[in-house]
Amino acid sequence: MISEIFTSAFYTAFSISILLCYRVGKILNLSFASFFTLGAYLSILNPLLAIPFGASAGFILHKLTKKLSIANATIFSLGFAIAIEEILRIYFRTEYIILPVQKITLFGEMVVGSHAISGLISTAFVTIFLCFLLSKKSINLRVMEEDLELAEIYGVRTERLRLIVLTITGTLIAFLGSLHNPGIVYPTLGWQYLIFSVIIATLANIFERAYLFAILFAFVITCLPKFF
Amino acid sequence: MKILLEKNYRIILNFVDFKLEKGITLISGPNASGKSSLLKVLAGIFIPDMGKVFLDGKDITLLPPSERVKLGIVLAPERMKIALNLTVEDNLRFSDVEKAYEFFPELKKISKRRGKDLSGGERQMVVLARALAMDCRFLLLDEPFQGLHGDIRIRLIRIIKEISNRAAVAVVTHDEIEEVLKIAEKIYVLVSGKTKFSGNREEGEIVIKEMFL
Amino acid sequence: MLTKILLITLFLLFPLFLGYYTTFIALISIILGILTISWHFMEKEIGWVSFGHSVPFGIAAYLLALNPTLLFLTPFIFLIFLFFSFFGRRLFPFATFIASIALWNVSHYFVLNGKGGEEGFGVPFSMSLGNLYTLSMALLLFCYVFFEIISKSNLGLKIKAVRDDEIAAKSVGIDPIRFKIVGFFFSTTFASVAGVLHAVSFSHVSPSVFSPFYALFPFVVSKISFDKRWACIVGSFVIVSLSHSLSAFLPETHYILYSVVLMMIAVVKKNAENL
Repeated sequence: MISEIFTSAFYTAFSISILLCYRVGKILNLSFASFFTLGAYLSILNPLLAIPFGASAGFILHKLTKKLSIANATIFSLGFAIAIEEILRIYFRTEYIILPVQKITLFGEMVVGSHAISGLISTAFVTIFLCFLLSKKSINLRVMEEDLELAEIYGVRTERLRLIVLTITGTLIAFLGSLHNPGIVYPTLGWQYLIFSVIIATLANIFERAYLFAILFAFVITCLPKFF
Repeated sequence: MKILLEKNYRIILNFVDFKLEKGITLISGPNASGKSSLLKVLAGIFIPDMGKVFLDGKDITLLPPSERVKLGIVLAPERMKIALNLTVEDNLRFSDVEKAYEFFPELKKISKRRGKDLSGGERQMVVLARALAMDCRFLLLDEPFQGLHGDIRIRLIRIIKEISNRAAVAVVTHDEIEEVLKIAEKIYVLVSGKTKFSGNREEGEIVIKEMFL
Repeated sequence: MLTKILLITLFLLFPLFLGYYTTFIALISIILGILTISWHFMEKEIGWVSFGHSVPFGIAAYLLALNPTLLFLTPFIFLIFLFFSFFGRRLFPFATFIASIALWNVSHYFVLNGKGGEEGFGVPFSMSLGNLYTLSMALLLFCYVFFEIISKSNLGLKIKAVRDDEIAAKSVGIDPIRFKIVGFFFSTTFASVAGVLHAVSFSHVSPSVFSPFYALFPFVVSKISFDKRWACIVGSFVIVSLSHSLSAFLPETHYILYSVVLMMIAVVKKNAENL
């Protein structure tokens, strides 16, 4: 069950990142698939390298898509994702790489060490984000979610906020990719995680309190099968 | 410089020359004459295809609306545009909340209600309260009387006059034209995106009365 | 139109007299040409951009490999797209793309856990390259002529009316759902035909039929062909030939082209509706 809880935390962080980009950044960020893969490849060298690379990728994506409509920004993010994957494929020149996996015992259950760390980082991210949402400072984010033009009229620096959202989530996903990979790394690795998270995010987005529902759905989808 | 603005291959503002100074400026004209678009150019929502916007001699044409707010250019948009999922108080939090309640004490009783649960008139009060209670040098009011009843309209005219003592106020309106004409110092009349008239109240009043009243 | 058909026929006949490998590459181009033209109809005439035309393509290929009698299900594949159309035009490309990627991932498990081996499912019958080439060429020409005629017909005009404005179309007595269904049906049926031909030409079906290569192929080809139907056939030959000829130096070259086209289109096009 410990392993499922960590996985559920990971998917919560992933789907909240998708929701944040979609609702605040006005982009369905398909590049997350390749950010995750980028992190997984960089973990061969050093997992911490995923942080600057993820942040840079998020920053570049923001700069190149800031003037585009949601649909165009999303298409761009798809092209960007494929470009990163191809750079990785050309650079590493191999179909897949097998990484060493270290297992540790937690509360009597064997779990992958890096997955435990990714679970804890995801939990920290979700907790900090929820605290931020409850604070008065989240008002800028909320008005931006509703209407970009109105947010600007209200004096919210929407471009800066979008940059922050895309950079932070880009960093997070790349870092999670360096930790939560299954031990085999290949260029299209990130897609399966992205699809699962997009499904959670889409279901959560139906509800007004989408971020809270993302936690619930991630938990239900990853943990409930354990009981049956 | 004169402003040219095009949207969907249609000319909205056809080399309009506009200057906003302390006091009240009434911008009048028939529907689709470019009045609201002119305010949006000033607020930074629309970027003109040609021409520039200057503030104290500094070119601010490409400055986003949020940066212009910091410079004191405040827009109260038309069509009762507020954040519908935020409460009244949250909408007002982008300005001085207490000051906003002083202008419209009616809002205090409904401060916890969300935008989508308000009536048209209440929404318009939120739009105005937020704009009026911001620290502005240039106040741009787009159809400010929309949805408001008589008493509040009279109060709004009084507030606009008060603010015009320290700031430049541009008013685009179809309602209460006669009342606004009484307090306006400068008048612009736009027709099909072109300036048909710009000048002082006395001459402007004649043009407007001929055209609309 | 006759001149165009004649020129296309000559263009398609030419590779038949070249070596086995060249003919095979041309065969794949023809099959993907059918897929592209079916996609092009959906985008140009019906107004829905699909990033998941690999769904009807791959499903039909799998149905043939599992049991050819299951091919009677192919006319119903349009229901998948009809379901995704409820997400609206803006989300449709991404919903279909995610569906194709999901099928790509799921089919890996399906292949390993089902009766298929590493390479996928074997196809129960085969054809000689010459016969398959001739059949595919005939189907491509039929597909081209069919969509040309439909586009200019009364039915095509009604489909276009629904594309331009559903409410306005409704007000003049056109049922938007009915004509959307007809359009989706034509497009997915020809995409399924391409899938079946693809399965026969490779003699097996692997999960890659749902991969982004097939999902995005029609979009990229259509865009580099400046949205011209006849040019889609040439575009298909260009991408397939480029991909195969450069694969020795740079594997998966087509993906680099895909990424460039996607990013360029997103920046160049002014609004999403025109995509």
